[in-house]
Amino acid sequence: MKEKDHILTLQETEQLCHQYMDCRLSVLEETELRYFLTQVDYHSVLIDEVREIMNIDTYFADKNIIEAGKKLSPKWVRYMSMAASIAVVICISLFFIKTSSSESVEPQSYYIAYVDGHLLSDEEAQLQVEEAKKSADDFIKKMEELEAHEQEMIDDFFYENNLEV
Amino acid sequence: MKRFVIIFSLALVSLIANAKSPQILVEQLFDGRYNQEKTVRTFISKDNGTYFRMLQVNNNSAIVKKIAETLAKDKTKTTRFSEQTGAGGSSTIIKIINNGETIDIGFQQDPSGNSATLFIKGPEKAFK
Repeated sequence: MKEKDHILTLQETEQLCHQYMDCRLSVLEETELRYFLTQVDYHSVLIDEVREIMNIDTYFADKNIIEAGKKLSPKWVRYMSMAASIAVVICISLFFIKTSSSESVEPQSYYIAYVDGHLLSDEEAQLQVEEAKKSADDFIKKMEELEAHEQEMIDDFFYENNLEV
Repeated sequence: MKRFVIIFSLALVSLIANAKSPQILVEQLFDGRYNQEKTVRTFISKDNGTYFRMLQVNNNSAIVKKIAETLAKDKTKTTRFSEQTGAGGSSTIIKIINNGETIDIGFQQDPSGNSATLFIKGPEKAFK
């Protein structure tokens, strides 16, 4: 436990856990064991029991990196930063792509109408489209009224039969 | 790390999906295919930030059928729709919400199935 860069084997860790359970570790050794158990992905009944007693989780448990004897925290943070930067760049790009594509080509307003296979003039098209829009609005209104009426009938049914919705 | 990469990829995919337009299938019927068709009247406009498109079909059951089939596919994309059927024919309205705005798609068909009207209407923002 004294050597900071030495990675303990599973057996050595278990031995330390035994000593911990027998209350044979000093306070400093206990602290080091606690830190070590947060860094490794070793598992056994004893080790897990000690972890539970110490109330710790293995949040840095990538075996390969542990074996390489490297500290994970700064690298992980670096990956997070890189990923966040990429996400921000993508979001900004998408925003500009959407904004520019929608504003670049289309005019503010236009009216197009084909009747009997012929394209109408702008004025005629506008008149025809306005009429068509009015009929569409009437249709939407009529459907909404019918829907509201149906809902009213459903509510009445539940009320008359003392049922809860 | 692997878990983080998976979560990040999923977040990216959902972001891209969110950036996508609503992909209304009946909108594709306004690609000009019926412009020269004498049984169909086509109206298209953008005014005051509102998109509007309408097809009026008279005595052409094949086109009416095609519209009805396409609309049925769009209907699966939303839970907000209403249908009324009676002696005067059938009426359907579908509401698709995108970017916090509502697109109304209306379809009215006569009992014979030969004539029908389809329209799409909504704020410009909803189509992006």
